[in-house]
Amino acid sequence: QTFIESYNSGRLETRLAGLVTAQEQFKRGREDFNLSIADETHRLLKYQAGLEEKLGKPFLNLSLHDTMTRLLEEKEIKLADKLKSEFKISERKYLWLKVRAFGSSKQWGELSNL
Amino acid sequence: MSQAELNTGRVKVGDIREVGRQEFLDLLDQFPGTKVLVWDPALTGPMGLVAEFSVLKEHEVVKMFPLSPGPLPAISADNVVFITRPSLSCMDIIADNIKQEECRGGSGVKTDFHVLFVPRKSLLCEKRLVQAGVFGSLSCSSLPVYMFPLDTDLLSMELPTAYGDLVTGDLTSLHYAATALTRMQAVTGVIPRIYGKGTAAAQVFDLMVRMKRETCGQEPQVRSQIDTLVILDRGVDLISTLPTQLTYEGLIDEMFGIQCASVRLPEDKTVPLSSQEELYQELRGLNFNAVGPTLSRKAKNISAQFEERHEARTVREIKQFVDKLPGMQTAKLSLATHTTVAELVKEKIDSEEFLSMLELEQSILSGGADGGKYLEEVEDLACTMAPLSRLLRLICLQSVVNSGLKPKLYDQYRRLVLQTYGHSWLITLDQLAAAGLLVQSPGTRPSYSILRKRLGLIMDNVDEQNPADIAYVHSVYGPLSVKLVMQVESPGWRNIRDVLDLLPGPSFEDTQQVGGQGVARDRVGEKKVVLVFFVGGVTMAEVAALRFLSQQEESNVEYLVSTTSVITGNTFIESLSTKLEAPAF
Repeated sequence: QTFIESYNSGRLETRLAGLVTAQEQFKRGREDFNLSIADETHRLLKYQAGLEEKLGKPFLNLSLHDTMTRLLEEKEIKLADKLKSEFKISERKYLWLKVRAFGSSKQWGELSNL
Repeated sequence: MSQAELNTGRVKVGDIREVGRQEFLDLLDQFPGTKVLVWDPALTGPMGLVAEFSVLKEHEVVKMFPLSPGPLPAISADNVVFITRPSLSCMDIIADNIKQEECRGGSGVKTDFHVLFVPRKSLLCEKRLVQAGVFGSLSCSSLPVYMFPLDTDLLSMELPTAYGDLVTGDLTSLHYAATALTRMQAVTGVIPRIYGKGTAAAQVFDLMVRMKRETCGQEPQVRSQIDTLVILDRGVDLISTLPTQLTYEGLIDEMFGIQCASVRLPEDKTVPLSSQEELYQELRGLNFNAVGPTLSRKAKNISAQFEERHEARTVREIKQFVDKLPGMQTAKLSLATHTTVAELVKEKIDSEEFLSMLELEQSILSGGADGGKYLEEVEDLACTMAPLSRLLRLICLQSVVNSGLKPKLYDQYRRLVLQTYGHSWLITLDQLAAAGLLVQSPGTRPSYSILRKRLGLIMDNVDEQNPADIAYVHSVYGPLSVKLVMQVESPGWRNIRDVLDLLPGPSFEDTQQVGGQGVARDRVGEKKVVLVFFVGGVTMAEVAALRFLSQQEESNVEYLVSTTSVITGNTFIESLSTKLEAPAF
């Protein structure tokens, strides 16, 4: 429920706080999967806020895959690598994301180096 | 379709429509003077099947608008009639409309406001209007139209959220369904035999029995047109909602969405789809692979017919040819339309994405394979950003076929969805779990493999051009729901207890006393009529399978289908989804 409510706010601090409350609720209800998702959402939001500040481009509210794709398209390979390890994305999936991102942003060199 | 056209089937569907139409017109006539109708968009299409604008004009309807917030369009009429589903969001818009109109002070003409609730008033809605302070300025009535005729053998209640509502504990649609069936029997006669399977089906039947008791002594005095009613809870067979429909009509619905017996194609072209069109009647139920050959055969026929003009020599022959011309022109036009539609469908199904989805579905349905086998394929599809509802269909299919997914795989799939499409879909995953579509395996043996064998759900080597089994509607898989319906006649549900017990919810069987002459038979040896009512939705592929069975020469049954709504896998999943849209930061 708090998880849903956290989506009502357009303020980052409120969203993050809502997700912390949601985590507590999931913990009490022993909903392990939901707990890990609320945690993942929280971490991703903080990451995205950092990226917006650093790169001056919109990242908030994108999905994890879209965030990584955008980083790859923006040639921020290192930042994408960091997300990959932080969120334990498999090599296989990461390769897919790279193929799609390099293709769409016409980074043919990167594409052929895969 | 007109009343006469709708009455061409075994059950006089046109008469059912006529009752609703008359109630609607009578209600309108109660409001003296000119009328402006304001429609809840959810009702425009369905009510259009009941009463066309041309008829409404004869009852002093001068203008119609869709319901939308803000002031009403400036038009002076004696009455403004809102026609709406009993939903709170519509009440708020109506209240807003009326307030703005009162502020404006009217145009000098005194306007009366009325609200017609389809199919009935709700206390909750009236309260909402009281709270908004507009209840005093309007009159409320029920407009009891429950079923909308989509064709001579298909009736829909047009309640697309019925299954989801049931999952969340809202039983309104069950009351509507029971009322619909009760009112239907007043027109088509008492149905002597009733079968049912699933919790929702049993609830509908209980309600029907209660309604009957309340009106005791007032049995409809009409000859029965229907022999048997089978009520099926969608929850009994979730499997058949998910695989891609491969009939012509099913694919049109999947690709473009059929609304109230017509489809809107790209470039805003609307094509009506009904049994009144001879060619469509022939094409609709075919496997798509048989559509191309049929179209080209028809094309050859027509050009051969046009060629005949060279052979017409005598005046009489020429006259005969001219007499056939209008029919040939219509056929030619119809052929052109469906060639276009078929090409549009073909374009979409030739895509690599479509084919790999289909291949996966078919191997999930026909393989007893280990549940983990498809993770990589599903991952690949997710990474190419296949539409979410398509992907969920595949995952859910795997879940329902295996009676749930192993815990590890369950989490892997869910995480994949959230990371790809956004964490906000968590709520939807919970809803799919509550609906029984995407669940964790309880560790019991999946019943699908037994059902598959006992009912013959899977057919290899289906002849798509000339099928012998309903499996052709999905090329390999015959819908479980329809297979269950088939067993009613032979060998009888009593003889498949073990199969019924594998499926969720109670099964029941009952009879109703039929007064007078019993079931009407115009001719000796005429087929029995079985009405199948799907609580929670039916796919056009299932409808096609039932129509296919009706057409078999050796069959002694003809089916009529009724449902809360027509669904596709996508619309079914979407009706259970909630998109949380976070505001921009």
